[in-house]
This record gives sequence, structure tokens and C-alpha cells, in this order.
Amino acid sequence: MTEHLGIILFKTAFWLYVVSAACYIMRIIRVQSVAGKSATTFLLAGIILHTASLVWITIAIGRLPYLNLHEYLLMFSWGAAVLYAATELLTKDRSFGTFAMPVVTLLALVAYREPEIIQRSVMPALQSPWRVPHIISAVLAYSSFTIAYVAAAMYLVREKAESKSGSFWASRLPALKVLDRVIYRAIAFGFLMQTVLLITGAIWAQYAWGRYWGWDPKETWALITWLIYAAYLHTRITMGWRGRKSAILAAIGFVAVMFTFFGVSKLLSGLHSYA
Amino acid sequence: MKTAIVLLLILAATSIAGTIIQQNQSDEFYIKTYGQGLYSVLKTLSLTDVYHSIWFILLMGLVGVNLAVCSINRFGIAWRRTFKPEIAADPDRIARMAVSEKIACKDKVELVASKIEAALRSRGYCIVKKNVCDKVAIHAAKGRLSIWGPYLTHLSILVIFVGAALGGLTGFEGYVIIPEGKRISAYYPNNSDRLKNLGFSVELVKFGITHDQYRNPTGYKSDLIVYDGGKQVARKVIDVNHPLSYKGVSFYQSGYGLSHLVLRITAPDGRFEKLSFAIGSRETEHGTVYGIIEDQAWKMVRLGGKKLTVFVHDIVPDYVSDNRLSASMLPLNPAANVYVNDRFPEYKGLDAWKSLGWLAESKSAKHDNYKITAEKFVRYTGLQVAANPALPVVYAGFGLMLAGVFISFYLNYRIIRVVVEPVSEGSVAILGAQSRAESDVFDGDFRKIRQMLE
Repeated sequence: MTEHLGIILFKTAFWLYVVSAACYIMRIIRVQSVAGKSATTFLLAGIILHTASLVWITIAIGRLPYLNLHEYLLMFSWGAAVLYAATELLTKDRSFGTFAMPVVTLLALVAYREPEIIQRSVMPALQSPWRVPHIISAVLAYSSFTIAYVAAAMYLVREKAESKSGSFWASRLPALKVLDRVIYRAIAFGFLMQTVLLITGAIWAQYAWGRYWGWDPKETWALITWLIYAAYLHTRITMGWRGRKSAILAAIGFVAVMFTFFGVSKLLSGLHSYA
Repeated sequence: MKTAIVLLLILAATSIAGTIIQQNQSDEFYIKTYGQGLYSVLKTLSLTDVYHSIWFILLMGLVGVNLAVCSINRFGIAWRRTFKPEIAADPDRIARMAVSEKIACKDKVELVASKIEAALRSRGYCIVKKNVCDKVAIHAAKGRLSIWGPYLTHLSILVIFVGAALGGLTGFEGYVIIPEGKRISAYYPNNSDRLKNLGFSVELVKFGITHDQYRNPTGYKSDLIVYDGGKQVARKVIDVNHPLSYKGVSFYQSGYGLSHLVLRITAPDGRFEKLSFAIGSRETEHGTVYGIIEDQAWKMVRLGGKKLTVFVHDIVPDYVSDNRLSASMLPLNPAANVYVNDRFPEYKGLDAWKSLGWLAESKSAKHDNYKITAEKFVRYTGLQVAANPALPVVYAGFGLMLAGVFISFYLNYRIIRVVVEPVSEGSVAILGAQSRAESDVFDGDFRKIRQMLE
């Protein structure tokens, strides 16, 4: 069994996301419920194919796809799509899709364009039972921080639009209160997952290298991300920050996420530079 | 609180510095990268070893103290909130809560209050009711365990800090290198050149690399025996992620290499002699390259009335054939390129050296009825040695942290305050609600109350 069919499924899912994103954008240019409904339908169809593709690939190569950027983005874009769908379901508000679906599509596009699945065996350091919870928590943490970021961006756009009368965005994005809440829920979940990520990583490192923490750039950046979101949660819960300031902090947190994810592997040297 | 956030952000900022400036490199590295002047600044500020510098540890200590102080200060508040909630009867105060609503009713105060109480009970709230003059005040709370979530989280950080400090004081980290067949009973602690005793000894029986069809490594396996008091007490084939532990000391697979080559020279009469050649290695961008240490590359042997000089010219790690020397950089099938000379050192001419070709392990070549065999390439294993008696403390901290974060965000603490006042026609109920971090989770609760009152 080869992973080839899995790749085809993923590529199909990608095009469904593209169509879905186009529908979400059409929906706000000329508010039509037909475009909205088809946007969600295409998204769900994409998620089903994407899920099937991940299951197929995992079975075909005997492990989760995580060895290089392409493999990992297969999962990351899936997590973002699923969490976005969950957000739409919970808030019953399609206008999130205007910003969220292009981001999901972009993540899937990077996976689409990167070189494909790695065929070689997994190096000994990665052979650990802690691998699965570590990777899954990473996917969930990073996807929910992505959703939080998208909501924060929408918050800032809508807030600015509201100050001008008759602005295009003012009526086409979710209400500020809803956005604020989505940012918080997404970060709360992401923070829990980031905690799981750090702890499973620490236990794994203890088994592999005899120390649970070594200030490796990747671990340090994951901790920095955790600290920034901890600051977000503290300012919100104990200092009553809401709205604009809170949204800006959420966006800063996402910069750290992106740096941990892309920057550390490409720019800094350390133990996580595998592929 | 502000101090705490500032500390968190300083901690984040200094950690960033530590990831941008490569840590614990040689002086030459820093001078080459940053220049002498900047390097002395970095060195003075310990920016070349941020995470172990006094000021970073002090910063962590401050975070710990801040956490402890905050937790103690707020303990009383949390305790009262959980067990002795304050019942507010001031309508203005209730109206100022995150969500509030005023409902006018025809019924009497007592009846309205008990209806609201029933509504809130059916929504899972825990209720305290109090009569204040002619008013009735209700305090309803849900998810009170969640008040303790942040405490658990903060406590867990303290526990981890304590565990890390204890580990630093009572544990150790170091390194050993054991060639196959050798036994060691001491290790080199990190950042020190002085051997420290283990109190028992460890022998490497065999080191081996497993690999896939493309010669990618799938396992680095060291077969280890532990001896204590002269007796074998443990044996385990360790691999990366699968350490061996004995008496609180763990051995982690960490490195490997070729230690020395044993050549066996057999004379025509059957007598033989073994020669040992130390193998050195060098890291290159393609991987580890092996070679014989230069001043020990040749050895002389007198055997069966003849004087033979053996010269090991070169080593390849994964020999295939003379055309395609090495299949990989892994020492899977090492081979040595060997020359012999029976006129050295009297005759210095290069033409006296006879090539025996590449000798892989257990392969032989002949020279004038003398047999030269590459009897063994002795491997060594590099093991990380670590003891951390405080590890359970740290793991307990991890567990507490997960529980704390989960409780904080997924058991949502909500309070609803109600005061029912008599007015000329019936009564009026003022409802106020508040939840940590969110305010629009009360729609269902308020709807239920309205239904009850209709």
C-alpha cells in the first residue's frame, strides 16, 4: 500500500477548500445565503476527504505524517479546518469564514507545494510512545492559536471599520463581543494543548536525553509562546482586559507560534532540526 | 499582578536572547561571530550561557517568589468565595455586574425569590439565600472548583521549580565512553575533567546499529551489563528512548564510534601476534569521518624470524567494494586499507610497501605466507549518565499543571446574584451575573428565570 491515494485525496480536499474560501468571500461581497451554505458544504466535504487522506497516509507509512514541513502541514491545515468548522458550528456565524478559510487554504497550499512524504525510516530519537500525544497536541494547539489569530485580526478590522460610518466591514464581520469570546475560547483551548505539548515533550526528552528540559531553541520558543498566552490570559482574567488590547496580545502570541513553527527550524540550530 | 506579567515578559525576552545567541560555544566561535569587543560584553552579561547565569536563576527565583506571594495573598479570597460567599443586597452593585437584568413581577417578594431559586437550582447552581430587611438576596454559584484551577497551576509551577532546584542540588549529569569489552566505574561530569565514581561498574558487551534497506539508522543498541560488588546485577540492551537505570543512575544512548582496530598477524608456522590501532574521528558536514591516529598508524612485529611493519592507511565505515568504497557514513561494515613492508626501516623507499587492499572485519590477506587478518573493529558507545532523585517532584508538578489548566478553563466558574425588592405592585428582581473571562454564557440561565416568573 502506498500513500499515493492519500495525497490525491488531500489534493482534492485542497481544491474544495479553495472553492469554499471563494464562496465565503462571495458571500460577504453580495450577502447571499446560497453562497454561505455552499461554502460550508464545500468545507465539510473538504474536511471529510482530508480526514480520509490523513488516515490513509498514516496507515500507508505506518506513522503520523510529521517528519518534514510538508507532512506536518498536512495535519496542521486539517486541524485549522476542523477548528474553524467547530467555530462556525458553535457561533452559528459564517462571516468568520471570510478570514479563516483563506488562512486554512494557505496552510494547505504550503503542504500542497512542499516536497512529498519522506520514505526513510524514523530516526531512533523519534521512536517513542510520547510522539503521538506530542504531535497531536501540537497540531491542536497551533490550529487553535491560528483561529484565535484570525478572530483577533477580524476584531481589529471591524473595530476600525466601526469608527468610520458606512464602512464595508462594519456589518460584514461577526460582532465584536462574539469575536472577543472566540479569541478567548480558542486561546484557552490552545493554552491547554500547549501545556500538554510542553509536558509530553519534557517527558520524552527525559527518556531520550536524560533531561526533561535543555533550553533547546524549539523548547524555549514553545515556552515563550506559552508565556505570551499566559500573559494574555492573566491580563484578561485578573486585569479585565477585553477587546482591542486583548486582541493585539493574541496576535503577538501568534507571531511567537509562527516563529516556533517555521522560524526555529529554518533559522536557529537545535535538536528539533531533523528533516 | 502587574509585577507578575512584567516578570513573565522579561523571562520571555531573556529566553529569546538565549535562542538567538548560540549558547556555550568556544571563545573562538564568539570572537569570529561577534568580534572581540561585543564578545566581552556578551561574556560579562553571561549572554553566552543565559540559562545558567546567576541573573537568570535569580529571575526565575523572583518569578517563584512572586507566584508564592500572589497565591498566599489570594488564598483567603478564594477560600471565602468557595465556602463563605458574600451575599450582596445592594441593587446598584448587582446592576453593575457584567450582565444584568431587571424583571418586574406581580407576585410577592418571597414567592418570586423561591421561583428564581428553583430556576437556578434546576440549572445546576449552588444557592445561598438571605433576607435583608424587606428584600431577599440570592447568591448562586456554579463550577466553584474552577476557583482553584489557577492555584493548582501556580502551585504546579512552584513544584516544578522546587523539583528543578532539588534536581540541580542532588542530581548529576555526565558522560562516559565505553569500548566493547571494557568496564567503567566512573564518569565525567558535565563541565568538568575530573572523573567521579559511580559506586558500581558498567560493561559494554556489544554496540550495534540497526538500519533499514536504505541504510538509515533505526536503532543504536548498546548491550550493557551492570556489576555491583563483583556480581552481575543487571543487563539490558539500551537504545535511544530506552535507557538503563540502576540505583537511581540512568544511562542514555547518546553516541558511538570506532575505538580501535585489532589486526592479527599469523606466521607460516601458526604463531601469531595481535596489533592494536587506535581509531580517531572527525565531524564533517557529511557525517563522521574515521581514520587512524597519525603517529600510531604503523606498527612493527617480529614473528617467525621476520620483521614486518604494518601500516593502516585509511578506514572506511561501510565498505562495499574497491570501486564503491563506502555505502554510508554509519560504521556498519568498517574496513581498513592495509600495507605491509618487510624492509622497513633499513630501506626507506616507498616501493617496499605492499598493498593488501581493503580488509573488512574478519577478512584476511596474504603476504609471503604471512596472514594478516582484520580481526575486529572495536566499537565504543557514548552514554549520557544522569541521576535526578527529584524527577518525581517535577512529574508531580506536570500532573498538577495539567489538572490546574484544565480546571481553570473547562470548569467555568459563574455567579449569579439576585435581589428581590418589594414595589408598590408586587416586586422587582434585579439579576446580575459574572463569569471568569466570559460574560455571555448566561442566556440560558436568564431565560429559565424569566420562564419561571411568567
